[in-house]
Amino acid sequence: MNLTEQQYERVARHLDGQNLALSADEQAVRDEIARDEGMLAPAIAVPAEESLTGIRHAMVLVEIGIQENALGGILDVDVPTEAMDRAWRRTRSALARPQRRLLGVAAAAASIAAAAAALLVMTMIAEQPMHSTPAGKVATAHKAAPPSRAALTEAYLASVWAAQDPVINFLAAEIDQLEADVIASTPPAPVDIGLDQAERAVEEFWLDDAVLE
Amino acid sequence: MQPERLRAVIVSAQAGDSSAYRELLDTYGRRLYGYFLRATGSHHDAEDLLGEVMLRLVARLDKYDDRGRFEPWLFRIAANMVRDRIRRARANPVPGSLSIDSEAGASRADQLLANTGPVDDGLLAEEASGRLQRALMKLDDTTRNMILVRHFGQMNYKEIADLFQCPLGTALARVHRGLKALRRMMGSGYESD
Repeated sequence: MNLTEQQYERVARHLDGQNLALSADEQAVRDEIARDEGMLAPAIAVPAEESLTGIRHAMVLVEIGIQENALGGILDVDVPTEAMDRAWRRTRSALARPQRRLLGVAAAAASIAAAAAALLVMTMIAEQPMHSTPAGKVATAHKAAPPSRAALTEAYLASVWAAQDPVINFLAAEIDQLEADVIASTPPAPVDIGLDQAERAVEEFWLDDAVLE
Repeated sequence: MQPERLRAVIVSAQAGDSSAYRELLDTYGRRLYGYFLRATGSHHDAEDLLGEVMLRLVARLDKYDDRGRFEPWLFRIAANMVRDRIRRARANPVPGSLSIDSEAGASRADQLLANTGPVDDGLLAEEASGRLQRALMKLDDTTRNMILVRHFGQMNYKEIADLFQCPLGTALARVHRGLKALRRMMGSGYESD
């Protein structure tokens, strides 16, 4: 026998303990469910011995979990505002580094563009007619074949990059070193002292544990 | 365990007392294990899930607000873990990705997908128990879990409906049909021949 959704809901409320008067159909379903659950119960139970290994294993995990919780309490520290400020300064300077590099690259690109323009003008001048022959015939001067524009440009770019890259890298490294020196020269903050203490406490914690074992 | 004693044990456990956890495990361990075993059909998974649920208990018990409904709270965690495990098994049906329980090396995922038993037949020695396990595995996951949390977690239907996010009437209708299907599959009944 099947009921409507509403009838099932009434039976469920009844089974959950509400005092509802059920219809004959609803009572029949309630009785059927109770009978099936009653028959299922002994068959579905798992023998105690089958769960023993699992229970022992779980208890070991519980012990570990408790120790981890205790350790978490030792490891947790209040972070002072100054430490957060210092961390932010370091983050900000790290973020600024790529921008400095970009500025260097932009400056190099501008100088390359200017050099390329100058090279182009010089090449155009070099390709103009040089002089007239005694017979009055106009002739183009024969000179040794000049290197192609592409080859010239490539050579010039290589020289510019060779000159620019080490300078930019050197400056960036110098700035990084300077920042590191400034940070290192700052006196130890309370958070550093706190961290040292926490580290020692953790060592003692594990040491105690090992001794107890 | 009496409600007053349970409250005291929970408070001790919340303070990190391992003997209190031991008491909780002694009280609920068998039922949890039974639930996990019947839900997954695997002793290996049941053992693994029992350890995991206890770890979650250690991690979450401080957030438990005792209103005398510890069991449904505990079995809600357990039911969600079973649901996640079955979902993962379906998503990654690679042999060996889960515990390999059969001698042929079939993974739990394969067994779930094939919807065939028996699993752990050697361990589930009793015929009636094995037949019931096979029948349970033929039910859809939700219906099987509803019947199991009702039995092992002693949840009422309102709690089952909340856990599975369905109307109250739907929860009971599914349990009713599931029980009927089990009875049909078990043939002569639930008792061993």
